Amino acid sequence: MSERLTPADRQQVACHTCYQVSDLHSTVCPRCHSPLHARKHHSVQRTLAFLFTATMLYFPANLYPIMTTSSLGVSEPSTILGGVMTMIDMQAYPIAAVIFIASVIVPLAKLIALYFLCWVVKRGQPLNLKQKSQLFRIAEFMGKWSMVDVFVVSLLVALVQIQGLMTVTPDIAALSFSGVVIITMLAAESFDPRLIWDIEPRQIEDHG
Amino acid sequence: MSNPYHQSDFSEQHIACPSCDSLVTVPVLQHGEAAYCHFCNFPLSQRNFHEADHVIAYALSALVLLTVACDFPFLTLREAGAESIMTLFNTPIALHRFGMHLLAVMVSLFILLLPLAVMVMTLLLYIPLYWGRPVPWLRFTARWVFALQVWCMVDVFLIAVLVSLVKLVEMAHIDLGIGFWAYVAFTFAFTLMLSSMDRLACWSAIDHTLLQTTQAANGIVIAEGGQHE
Repeated sequence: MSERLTPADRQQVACHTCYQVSDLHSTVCPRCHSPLHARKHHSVQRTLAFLFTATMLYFPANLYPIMTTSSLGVSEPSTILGGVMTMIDMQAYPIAAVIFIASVIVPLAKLIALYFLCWVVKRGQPLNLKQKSQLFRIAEFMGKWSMVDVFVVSLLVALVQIQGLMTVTPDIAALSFSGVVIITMLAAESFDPRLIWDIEPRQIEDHG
Repeated sequence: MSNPYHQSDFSEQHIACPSCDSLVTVPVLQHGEAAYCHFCNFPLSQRNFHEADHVIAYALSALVLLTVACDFPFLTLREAGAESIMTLFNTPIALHRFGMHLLAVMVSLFILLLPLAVMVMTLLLYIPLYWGRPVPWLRFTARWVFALQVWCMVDVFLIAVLVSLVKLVEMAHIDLGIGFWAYVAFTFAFTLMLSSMDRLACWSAIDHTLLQTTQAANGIVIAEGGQHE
């Protein structure tokens, strides 16, 4: 283990916004004027609260229809998974894969990753911290891509409006699903990745 | 006043990694070089001597292209003699009409309003930096530009457009409008703009620009251009 020093070891505090290190007593970063705090407040509690909310919304998002297609008087509601199935039937495999990954795998993987990281911070082993940091960055980056399905619905609703012939209307799952996406993004935003490294055992005293 | 993005205006920086909170030293980077955190591999900075030029160019193009994308038909659907035209604006409006008010607000924020706000603030930030003008809103815009980036879903919307096209070609005849092509170009310009911006370099440039004026105000004369040669 190489000697890793944190701002706290030198009676300093780092800025979240511009990365600058300043005196521990400062309340505002001298460079960018953002409020300073060593770690995000109640990071794990907030993240978990967001995660529980997103998990609850995940069920209506997948069970209820996301949109209804009416063609010549026949209404056909479709769920997210139903949409993937339709694409497979149409033999549009790449698109089926895009929707399946963006709408099913990514939100689920992101929820699991963030639950795991919260657990790591509270009780985990200080092993492979680099990979755990990496995991958080991937989860953070992937989040917004789940909005694809919601945008597809919005587009179809705006475009496919030929009365009596073919219309598309949005359904409740569109709202629940965008809730899942946005709330997991908020969860990622409230999680402080530096907590992962706080569990690393270090001997500061030895270094003087 | 000199462009603070010039190579010689940067010095070594002692910062804390935002991902693992380790104290690290970012050396003076050459054009095209990048710095990663020694402990967690977080990308700390990527140096581009022409950062301000590129960002301003991309932001201006993106702004023009978005205007075009909003003004012209995006997609036109033709089926049995009837047609339905979609523009970028009526995407949220259609959701609103079906009672999805919250969703309408979110969609308009993520694909129109926040990207617009980011572009305008980017210009308000980088143009003064390019000319070395210490305008009072530098810190404010820099904080918001980097904070709001995550919520701009321009690229996600482009993928959604392509997915919808595949869904629709089987059902009806679709015409791609000028708005569509402008939006594709806009997505590229916007994404390039975001990826050209370097947080650390930006804050150093702000520091430098503001410091220059403080020194000037205190009567310290800086030999323009001559000091580094």
